[in-house]
Amino acid sequence: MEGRQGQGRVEGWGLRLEFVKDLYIGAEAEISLCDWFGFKVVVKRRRSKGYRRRELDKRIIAARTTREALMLRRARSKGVLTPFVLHANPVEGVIIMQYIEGPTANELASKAPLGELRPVFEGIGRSLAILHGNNIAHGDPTTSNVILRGADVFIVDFGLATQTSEVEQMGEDLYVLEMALRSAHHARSRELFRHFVSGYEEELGDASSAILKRLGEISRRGRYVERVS
Amino acid sequence: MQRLCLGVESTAHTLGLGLVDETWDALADVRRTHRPPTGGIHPREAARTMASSAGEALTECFSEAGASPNDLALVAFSQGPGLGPCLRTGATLARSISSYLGVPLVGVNHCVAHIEVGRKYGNSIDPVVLYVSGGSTQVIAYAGGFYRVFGETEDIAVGNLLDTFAREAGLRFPGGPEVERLSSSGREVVDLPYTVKGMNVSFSGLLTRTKGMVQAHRIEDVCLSLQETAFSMLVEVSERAMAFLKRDELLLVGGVGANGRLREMCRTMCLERGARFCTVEPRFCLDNGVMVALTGMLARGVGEETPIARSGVRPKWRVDRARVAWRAGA
Repeated sequence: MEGRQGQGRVEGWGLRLEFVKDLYIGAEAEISLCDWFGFKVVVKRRRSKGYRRRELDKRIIAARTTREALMLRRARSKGVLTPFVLHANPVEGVIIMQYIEGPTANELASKAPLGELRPVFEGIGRSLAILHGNNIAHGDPTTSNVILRGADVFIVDFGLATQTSEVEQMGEDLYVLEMALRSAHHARSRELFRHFVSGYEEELGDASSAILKRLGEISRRGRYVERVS
Repeated sequence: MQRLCLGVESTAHTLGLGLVDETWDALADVRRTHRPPTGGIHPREAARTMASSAGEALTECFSEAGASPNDLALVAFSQGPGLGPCLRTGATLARSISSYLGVPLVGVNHCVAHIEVGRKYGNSIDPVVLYVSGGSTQVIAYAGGFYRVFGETEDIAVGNLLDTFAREAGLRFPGGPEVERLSSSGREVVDLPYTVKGMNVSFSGLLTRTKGMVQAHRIEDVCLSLQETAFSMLVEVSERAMAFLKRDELLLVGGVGANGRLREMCRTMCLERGARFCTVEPRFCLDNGVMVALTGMLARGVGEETPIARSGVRPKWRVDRARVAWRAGA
């Protein structure tokens, strides 16, 4: 982490952050919890990967950091709940943003009763619809990237998001979500995805039919799809 | 008399015959690979090569193992996915041996066979699998009776990317190893389309761009850039799947898994996240009969058998539609 760590204090970026604890070490980034004058924030740092050539590594980290900070703000301005961004530094791969306390939809999807999950997945559907309605494709809308704070649905991790009006990109978002549901929560994936789609259609209206149609095409495109004849 | 399993592999350009004994040891591993003089594989030509070399390959297989056909207790074959004419040739061979000797026949999924040889010989237990070959690019893990696909290519397979690029650039066949050889003297990684969507990847943009670069750049640099970009995408989605599924083992299988640079990148990624990296020797990454025999034995171990009437080939049999009964309860 940039700045000095020790005595529970992290100083850097001109902010006076107090380190609280490490929250999560993901595939791409480390996330730690800090206190900023009583306001809980997370510091997300994209780690350099030893397997990538140095020049490629730098390029990827800078591009994703810039994109994530930009898209988090843009999504928020369109009415999708996302963490509030305080600071971003593409060279260091660091974003400091609001801490959202709550379980991820992934944690909830395997254990909560189906009745409770219905409003949650309809909510995810509405959020993704707002993004798509504003020409933003998320790029990685899995259930791990949805945090639930009470009834509020927060969408996080916009590192792969793009500003686009292509139906293809929107369809791919739905495909990524459906694949994630099918593989991680296979017993209830169909029902959860149905709830998602009902929220999505309700919010996006007529524009949703072309995207859902494309979703069907994308699923059939996968290699070795056996057609039942 | 021994109790051996014969595995017949014939999904693409390789006819592979393997003999495995009851202790999972490979006693014979014979291959006949069809090499087209120009262009890609023509399914019917490949099948014809297989049919004409099957007889002597089978003889060599038994003499290598020091066994006779009477030692067979099981015949396993790749039932799919793959090229129809090639699959049918292998299936015909397997059916005839099985019915002539009166030993059971088991049809196995080719992708599952790649995974199972990796688990057996690569000392891997419950991995996230990166399966990369000429026809497939998938990130797979076992859950609830099936190998499920968590990520895959949305267009062409990585082996197809390397081979097609190599052919267009006028490199020697087979393309993958040639790209690897040239890239070792590459100096600069050019900025190329890097397309990761969730746990999926896409290579068509990368192929188009690199094909157009051949004139203006050193071929070594193009190869290096192509390999580094494509492999970084693969390792990234593998790591994502490991984090998502909370598994600490990666298994690299399939023909492109023989690439030294890809193996090195996977190993580094695992080392950095405190995970175990497993793979098999390059020869078992490539298509072979041993992996089919091993998988047939696993299936037979839980009572599976494929009667002749149900032994038709399945050219588009997805890995996530093949039941993995021997791992149930594991």
